[in-house]
Amino acid sequence: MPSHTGYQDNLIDGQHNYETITDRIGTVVLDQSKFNPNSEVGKKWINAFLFGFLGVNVLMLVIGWLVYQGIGIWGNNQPSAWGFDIINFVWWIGIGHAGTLISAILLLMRQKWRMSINRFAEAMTIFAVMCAGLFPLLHTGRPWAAYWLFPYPNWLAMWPNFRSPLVWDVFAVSTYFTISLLFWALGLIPDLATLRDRAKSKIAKILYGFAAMGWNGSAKHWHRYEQAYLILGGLSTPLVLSVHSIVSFDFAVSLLPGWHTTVFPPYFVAGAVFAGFAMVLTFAIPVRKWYKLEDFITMRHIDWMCKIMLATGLIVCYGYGCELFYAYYSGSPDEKFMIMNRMAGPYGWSYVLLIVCNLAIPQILWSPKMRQNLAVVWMVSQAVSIGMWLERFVIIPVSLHRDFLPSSWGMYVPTWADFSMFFGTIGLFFFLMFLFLRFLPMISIFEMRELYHRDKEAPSKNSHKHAHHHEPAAVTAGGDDQ
Amino acid sequence: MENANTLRLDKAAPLGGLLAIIGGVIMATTGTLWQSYIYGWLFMAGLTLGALGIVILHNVIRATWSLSILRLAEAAASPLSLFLMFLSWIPIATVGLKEIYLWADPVRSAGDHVLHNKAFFLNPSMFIGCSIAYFAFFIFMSNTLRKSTIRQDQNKDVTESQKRANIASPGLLAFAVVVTFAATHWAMSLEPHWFSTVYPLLSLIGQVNCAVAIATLILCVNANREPYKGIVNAKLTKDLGNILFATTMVWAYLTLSQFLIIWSGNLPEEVPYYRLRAELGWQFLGWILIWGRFFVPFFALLAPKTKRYANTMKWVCIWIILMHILDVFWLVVPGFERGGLFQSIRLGDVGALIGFFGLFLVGFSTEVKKAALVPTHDNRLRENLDHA
Repeated sequence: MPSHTGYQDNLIDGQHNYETITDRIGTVVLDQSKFNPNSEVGKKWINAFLFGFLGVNVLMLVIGWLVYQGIGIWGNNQPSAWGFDIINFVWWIGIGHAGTLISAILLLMRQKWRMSINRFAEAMTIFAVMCAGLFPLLHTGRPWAAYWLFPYPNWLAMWPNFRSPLVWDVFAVSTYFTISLLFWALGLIPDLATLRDRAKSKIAKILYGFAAMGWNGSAKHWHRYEQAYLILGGLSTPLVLSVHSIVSFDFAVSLLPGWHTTVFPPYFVAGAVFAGFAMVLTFAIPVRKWYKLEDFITMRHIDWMCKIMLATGLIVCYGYGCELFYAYYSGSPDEKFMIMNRMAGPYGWSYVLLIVCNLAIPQILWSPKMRQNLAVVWMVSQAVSIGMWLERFVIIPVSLHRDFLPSSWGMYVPTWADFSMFFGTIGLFFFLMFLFLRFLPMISIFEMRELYHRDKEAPSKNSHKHAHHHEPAAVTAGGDDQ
Repeated sequence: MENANTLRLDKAAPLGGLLAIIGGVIMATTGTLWQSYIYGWLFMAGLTLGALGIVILHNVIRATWSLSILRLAEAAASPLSLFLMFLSWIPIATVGLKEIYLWADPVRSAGDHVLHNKAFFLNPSMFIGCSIAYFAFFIFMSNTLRKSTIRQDQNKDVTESQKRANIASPGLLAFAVVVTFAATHWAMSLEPHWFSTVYPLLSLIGQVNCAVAIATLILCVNANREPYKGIVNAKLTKDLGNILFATTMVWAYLTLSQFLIIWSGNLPEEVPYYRLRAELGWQFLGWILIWGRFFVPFFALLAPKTKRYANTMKWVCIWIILMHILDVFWLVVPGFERGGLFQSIRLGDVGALIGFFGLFLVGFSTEVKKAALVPTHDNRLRENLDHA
């Protein structure tokens, strides 16, 4: 895969030069008319933003009530001590993974096509982790004492149990958030400077200027920037694997049939990337149209994202198959019961829907024609998002509600608070995403200019191909992707 | 421009045959015939299937690194090699079955209710029927893809690549599924009470890692000889090094995950697998694998300098191959319950390695001569050479 990059054709469609690239992306933020409610695109933006704003308000109300009343307002019970809270936590964390994969792993693999989607995929990562973090924080029941999860010297004789993956989660997720935020913020600096230089309003100039931290585009700045970016890329790469593996350990180290299975870590990671790409497509497809960015997020990008979604989806389905087969092969009646209960128990509908959404529907993407049909791709992405949520539903309450002893069985029924909190985090995600679209360039301007330089300004395409393969040995071997 | 095949393998096939006979004699005379046989066979089967995995993967992703080792992988997983693997499987499925697999012996497994629960999958007819289906699938994939690349070398018909991708993409999926069942039947069921859902993936990644190491070793050793001269450059060795690095990491990741989950669960149906491997000296082998199979190649391949030169890469590859031999030993042999590690090292196992390596060599050296080592249907490697 790494060596494939030299054979990609142009990643920018249409007639562009440095100026038009900067203009087309920069004006989305700088041109006020784009956000004027009377313009067509402004109307769309304001509607989406208001939807998000509504969600945030709902979220605040529910959280307020939750803190006042306690987590009894949720549907969690015994035996289903984990319900919507953990489902949503895992779902949101998973969604963030596409951003990290695109920004870190594809960077190390020298996949240039990442350049037009990395910025907003990274933003999605950060916002998704924020939504995710709320759930376990509130599930502690006493969020004001959440700092007890950290090992700090204290007089309470409180020390986290380091054998518990729940504690690993605290470290994994907080590291993930910190690194993703730094990565994103660092990548923004050159573009913030561009916005500073092009902004007309004084306040914008000051704010962008402040955020650009004195960037002047000198060779020294670029040199430092490239180094720092690669280091953060290297740091982020293991996070793609580690964060969701640790999330999977939350379940797998237990003894519960349906949770305790060794395939969980790779299967969770693949599921996270699967759901993440579905969310990237969910946003990218409408937004590229609204802001006329089709030249930058091309059909080729959509095609590749669909292929990654298909491949990771198949890995996830391999995981379903393994669970099914080894439940039989284990020879254990508890394992067998768990899988039968999943498929034909009281929540059997969720398993059927999950298979429809994650196994059946994405197979449409085998067809190159369908991958070029935006409506179809968008619908498939929705199915995947729903399917991946259902997967966590099937894993969490459905495994919990009937464990070893029939006398301790029970049903799990989510309450209005569960639904409104889930809706609220979707609102928060929308709210943050549309604020991001409003104030920051959603596509990396300088990386698109770099891409333009590579594609169009190189003497000729053919000689470029060869040039790519004849980078000096010392540079390629000791260079970018160590 | 035509690349004459200059790997000096003229005498390899007879040599391989001789090794197979020597190995067979050692195995037969040292008292651990069937245990050693299955160890050697699983080692060879793993290499062959690892190579087949690379061939199928290449036809999906068409990367340059996989192109450079395509012909070696194709030869290692050629229909002939797979057929030899099938032939050498016949004794396992017939005379050796009861000796090797507890579940196949009605006397030893009598009254075992766990085995009774899985008797539908673990019984001699199912084992034989399914294995024949696995082989049929492997041979079909290998034959179709290899014939097509050789045909395209001659007629330069670009539609062949697309045709291969159309077969290889669903083929990769089917390969994963078939390997899962095959790994369960052939290897996991050696300890029939134990199960782990990640085991097939774990064994596959180890095999692919070792197959890439062998192919890279051949490339690096012949770096100054035609047709590899000029093609094996710093960029290619770096790419291959990175693939070895990535597969090493995935191996460690899956190994750690499996261990951690089983250790913390501490369930009686799972934990004996590690219990067996944690005492009587076996723990030393475990430590050797942690350090040798992961940390050593990890740090070696992390350094850009290692990957820049064919000469250093060569040593890393040899190391990985040796560690893989130990890894398969660790997976297979403790299950025979011969006692501690030192009582378990038997001459028969060495004979098995020699014999099955010989058999592997027969298939590989016969097939590798039949096609240009640097494929001519895809010019990317040659372009490197022309502009060097």
